[in-house]
Amino acid sequence: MKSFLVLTLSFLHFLVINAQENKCNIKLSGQITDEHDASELGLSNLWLVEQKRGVAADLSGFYEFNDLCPGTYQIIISHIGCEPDTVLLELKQSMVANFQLEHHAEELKAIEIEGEEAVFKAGVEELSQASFNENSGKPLAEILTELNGVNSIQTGSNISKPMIGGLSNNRVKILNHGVQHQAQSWGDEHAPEIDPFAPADYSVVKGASALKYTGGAFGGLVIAAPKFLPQKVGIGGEVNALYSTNNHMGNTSVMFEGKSALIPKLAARIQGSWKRSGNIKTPNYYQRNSGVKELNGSLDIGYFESQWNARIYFSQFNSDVGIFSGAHIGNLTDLQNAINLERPRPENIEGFSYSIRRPKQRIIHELAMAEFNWMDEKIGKFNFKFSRQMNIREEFDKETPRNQTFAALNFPELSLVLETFTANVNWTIETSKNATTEAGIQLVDLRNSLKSLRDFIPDYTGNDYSFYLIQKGKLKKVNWESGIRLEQSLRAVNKRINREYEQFDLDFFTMNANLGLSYQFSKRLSTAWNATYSERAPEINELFSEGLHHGSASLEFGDQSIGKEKSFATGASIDYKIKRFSYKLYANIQWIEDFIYLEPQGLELTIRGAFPSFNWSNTDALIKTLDQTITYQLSDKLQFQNELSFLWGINRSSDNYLINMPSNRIKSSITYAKDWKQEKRHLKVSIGNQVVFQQERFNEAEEIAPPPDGYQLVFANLTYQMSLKNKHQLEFGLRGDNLLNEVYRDYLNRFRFFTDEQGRNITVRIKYNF
Amino acid sequence: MKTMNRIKNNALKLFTFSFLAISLFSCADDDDATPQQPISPNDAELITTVNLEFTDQNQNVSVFSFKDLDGDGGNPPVIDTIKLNKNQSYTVSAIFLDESDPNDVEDITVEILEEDNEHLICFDIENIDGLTIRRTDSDGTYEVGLASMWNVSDTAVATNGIVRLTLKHQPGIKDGSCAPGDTDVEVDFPVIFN
Repeated sequence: MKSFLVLTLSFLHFLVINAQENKCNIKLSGQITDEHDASELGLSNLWLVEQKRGVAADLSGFYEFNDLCPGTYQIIISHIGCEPDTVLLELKQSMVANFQLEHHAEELKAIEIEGEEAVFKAGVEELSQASFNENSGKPLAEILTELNGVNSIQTGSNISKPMIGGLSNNRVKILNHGVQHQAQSWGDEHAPEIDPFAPADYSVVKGASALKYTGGAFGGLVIAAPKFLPQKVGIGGEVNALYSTNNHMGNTSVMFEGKSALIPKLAARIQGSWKRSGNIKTPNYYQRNSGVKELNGSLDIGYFESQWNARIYFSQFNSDVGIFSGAHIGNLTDLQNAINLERPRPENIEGFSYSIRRPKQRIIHELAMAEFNWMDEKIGKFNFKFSRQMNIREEFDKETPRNQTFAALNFPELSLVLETFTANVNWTIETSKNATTEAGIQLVDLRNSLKSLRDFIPDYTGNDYSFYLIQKGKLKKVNWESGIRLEQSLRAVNKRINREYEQFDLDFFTMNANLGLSYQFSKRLSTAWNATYSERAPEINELFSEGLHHGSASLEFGDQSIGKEKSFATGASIDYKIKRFSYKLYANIQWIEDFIYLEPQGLELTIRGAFPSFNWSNTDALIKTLDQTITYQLSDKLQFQNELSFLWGINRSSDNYLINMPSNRIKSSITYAKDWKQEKRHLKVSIGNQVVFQQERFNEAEEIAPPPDGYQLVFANLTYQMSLKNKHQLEFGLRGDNLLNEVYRDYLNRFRFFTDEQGRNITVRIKYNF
Repeated sequence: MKTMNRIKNNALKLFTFSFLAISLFSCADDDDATPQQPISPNDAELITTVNLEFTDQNQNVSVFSFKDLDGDGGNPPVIDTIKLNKNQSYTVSAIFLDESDPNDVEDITVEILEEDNEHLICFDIENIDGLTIRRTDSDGTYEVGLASMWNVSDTAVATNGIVRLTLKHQPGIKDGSCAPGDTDVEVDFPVIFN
């Protein structure tokens, strides 16, 4: 770049001298701006082809050519991150010519994310900014349930994990800013440690087809892709403030971003969020000790040259989550008593309070990522990425130890620290005009350290070595993509057995392969098909867990002899649009051989009485899903939408149903939208209801209590946006959940034995962009 | 293979660390999988043993126990059958122990006694006629149950009879009944009469 500028300047010098001799004195000047938001594109390059002469625009995008002769010129205008543009211009006299450039998003988006806008793919769902805004304040997994076919498995109202196609935990991976999120994801009560307000675009890839990032994601992949860094010189930002009536939640997020004129190639963003909520109110009582406290922050810095760029991302998540005290029980008798109660015992119901006492979780997650992109027209694009993650999880039981000295220390009963390092190299090259090849390697180094005597899972260290090769392209009207990923996983485990540590070394090799095709019949009809074979090595909990679950009063034991599970899945999407009507269907069928699941073993006698006991083991499973969305535009302003999501989960070995599968559900809504184009104002009002049917497909032998009844919830939303001076924007939002204050319990909530769900909740929010 | 991995690990870590200088947390790593010493003492108060010490009117002492020395899972617990004489009264002491480490047996009873206003021991009698159990100690307000009086009538009959001992932890919510709180111990002792 530097040498180019020097070259340009020397050309200019040469031409200035020439021009004087030729008496050519025409001046061409103007400004280069962005086609979309009219922002100034500083430091754009302009090149006069015939004259082999160029200039660089200044920081505000202004350029000037002096001493030109009359004639026709071909001008190439280019800017970092923009598609170069060629213009023909006839010059007779001095003139002003302003040019607009179109963004070429990919280059600025330092971390590339699968699910390209142009190519229709089976099972890829993007969360719109509007859906995100409407649902902000909720836990991440709850926000994602806005996407049809995505559910959440919950532990109370505050702990929520994404579930895709009936699968969760080890089978759903999260990609945060290009790095696979690493935490103790095996537990139902271990929610993703990600601040939803950390700037990102969220999407979900159903099924295990995103082989670039991970293997074994049988359910799918949740992607939190980084947002663009600002391109304009100056400072901008966003402020969010929310309040919810049900649990008196206050939630704010502040973000600043910008770049300085001194170093215009450097852009940065800093963000922080704070959240505090108190006891959750069901229609008839408050759940004692169900508050949440969060303090999160992130920092994003990028440096963009035309041929290379570098980016650093850092984020920290700190959370204290109260666990409803009535859901912490001592044994099976306590559990049965709780199930038989209509409402929790009086000591577990109190008025409103913000205080978070035992039982609770304290979680810290930290991600530091650095990446470097280098592009060359001939040899392709290279991406180097390094990351470190630290996940600290502390779980506090309901009561402190009996021993007063220990009780005073107030230590967590379970304390785990997981530290993960990753290094990736990715190479992308256009192998032909219509095909791209991507190859890469990924190294992972992880260490789980146990800081408590309770050893539900042991200490271990691990290494994963992966290689992947992905090819995609276009053959006539068919877009195709194929990929393969090979992974070698090593684990060294130190398990305490009878007060002695014993070491186990484990080694798994897994293979994932994928083929996807999509075909656009017409502008109205697109179809996509996908077939995936994937394998997943058993996780540490499936191999080594040992101990008691307080929430479900069950004993769980890992088994070191279980093998990897294998899945063959095929899914198809149809997207049909005709004038006012649009129809979207995604169907998937997945055979899983050696499906790793908790097999009931009957009752085990302990000093706290008998507990149902479960062993991790292999079986064969079959899961079928059907997600359908119909949208109908009733009038210019009125839209009707209906989404349905059906799922069948079958244990083929026992010829029965799989446990903890989402029941069928249907959601309908009507939206009224009005635009005041001149005033740049926008209003959107919607109301809808969600019907969740009772889960009738369950195996009686595996359930502690029969699945709760089905239920129906009414929700409404209002959003009002207005543009202010200087492109500032103000958005006002009002959302109501469970408007009819329905008393219900959900099959996918582990607290269904103990308490009703959250009652009516109204959230008011303000969003200000500047 | 192992050594090779270790070398690779170190190289990877070093490489990564040199790139990431902004981490707030750092941890002292030793590079093999040796366990770190657990620092939380909480689970040290595992209860493995419940002893019921019976003293009859003639000062004869007999002890019946429920032992699960390896904790949950593993080997099943060893449970004594309580053998009592008809037409006899016993004073009974309940003793709770952690015998998981035979060289360091901990008496949990002492801790229960220190927090007696947070604990209650309940006795439920099933399939037995002619046995009554009465708690004889108090925390000042409510009974505790570490000491109790067992009366056996001369017509006592037990057919698959059991006495269920439950230790409830009721911090701040003790009301004299067995309902509140979490269950710390729940054991069934079979009972026969001579």
